[in-house]
Amino acid sequence: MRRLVVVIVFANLLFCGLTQDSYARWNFLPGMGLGYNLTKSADPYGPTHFLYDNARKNLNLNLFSASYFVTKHWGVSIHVPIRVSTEKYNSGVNYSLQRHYSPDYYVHDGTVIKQNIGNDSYFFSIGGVYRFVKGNWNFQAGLNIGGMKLHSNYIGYVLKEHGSNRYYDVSLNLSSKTMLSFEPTVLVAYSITKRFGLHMQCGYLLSPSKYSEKIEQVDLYTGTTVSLTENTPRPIYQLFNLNFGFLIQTGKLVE
Amino acid sequence: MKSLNISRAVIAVMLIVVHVAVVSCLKKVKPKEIPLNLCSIDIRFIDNTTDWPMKVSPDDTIPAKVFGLQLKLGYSEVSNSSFCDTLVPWSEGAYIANQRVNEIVIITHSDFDDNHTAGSDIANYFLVFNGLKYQSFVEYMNEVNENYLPSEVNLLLMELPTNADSFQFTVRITLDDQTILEAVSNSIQISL
Repeated sequence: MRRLVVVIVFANLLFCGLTQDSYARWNFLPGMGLGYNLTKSADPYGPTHFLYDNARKNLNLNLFSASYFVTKHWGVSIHVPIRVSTEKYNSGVNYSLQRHYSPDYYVHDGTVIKQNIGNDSYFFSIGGVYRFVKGNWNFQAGLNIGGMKLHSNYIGYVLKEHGSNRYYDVSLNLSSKTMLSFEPTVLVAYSITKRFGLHMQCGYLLSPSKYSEKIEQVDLYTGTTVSLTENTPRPIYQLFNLNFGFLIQTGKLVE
Repeated sequence: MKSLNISRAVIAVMLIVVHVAVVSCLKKVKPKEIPLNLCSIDIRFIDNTTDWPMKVSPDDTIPAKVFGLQLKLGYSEVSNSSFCDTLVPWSEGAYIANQRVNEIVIITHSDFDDNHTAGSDIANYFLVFNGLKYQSFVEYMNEVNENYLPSEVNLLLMELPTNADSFQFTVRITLDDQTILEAVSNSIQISL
């Protein structure tokens, strides 16, 4: 009996959704998903490249994602996600450093001794969106423009010079300022009822980013800086996103 | 029925009390500390070309830039000083240093540079690298002895001699109980 009630209610919800195309003023898109960072280091063999590699795979959490439709088809969207890297620092970093400095230096004891590798990034964007509803299906395409703030990474290690009793303290810093971003998105949603459904959204975020890399090498015997490298690489930050969640439509229906 | 419930409650309280008592006792048990005296030193030569210092034979020639002295340290129990051993089982907190190091003197038997002729103390030219920074032997020993007793310490030569030559060293360590330990190395050829 209980199963019958559930089937009837579900069928009724489906039927409600099928009755007409619904164009509500507000679309809220709570959800989460995965992001894959395609950004390449300016120097793929440099000591800092793994700081970029650290945040390849990301978990996306949509803190706030909504669209307000001024007309039946056109609207404004606001998107505020937080992205947390699902990758942790690993021993590959040590190997990568060792390979970079060989044969002139050794990473002493083969290990990084200090690290502060952040794994969260913040984004905010606003833009225009076009939608088309056909039966239960809701298709949307948009272009958002906004800003983003990436994590700052720092690691430190000791180098032993080959053929010498000299040891050096090295620190690597990678930071970025708030950067402009562009993100075209495509969304497909299926309405279970007039007001409620499920959605899948793809986005490809691009940013003409500007990083600040600083590598300082200090002779631990004399206490003097023997090498200071400061770069401001400008790789194109690229992030592919795939999000899933709900579609909640509120407000008056737009005719 | 009522008396059965009371019995169960009493047993439960007793179990909790016993559990707390056992945990408290376990927490208070500390490993027995055994104070050790530094009783001997022995000198070897090391080649620090790579990241891992290699012991070398006195017959070899070592470049001055990678030269070092390795001090093998022997310890004896305070209660049984007749047995002096360089092999201290590593067990943090179990063995503690009974003395502090006051001074180290490294005498060169040959002229080292213009300011250090034969018979001069060049201990300042030898430093220990502890993984993060250079330290003098005295600083290193008194710091590391807070945690464990090293069985060997590598002293790296940080200043180069004026001329390539055959060198021999006498190492003298003075402890805070006025114990003096001394060792004389073999001769070794150092190249520039």
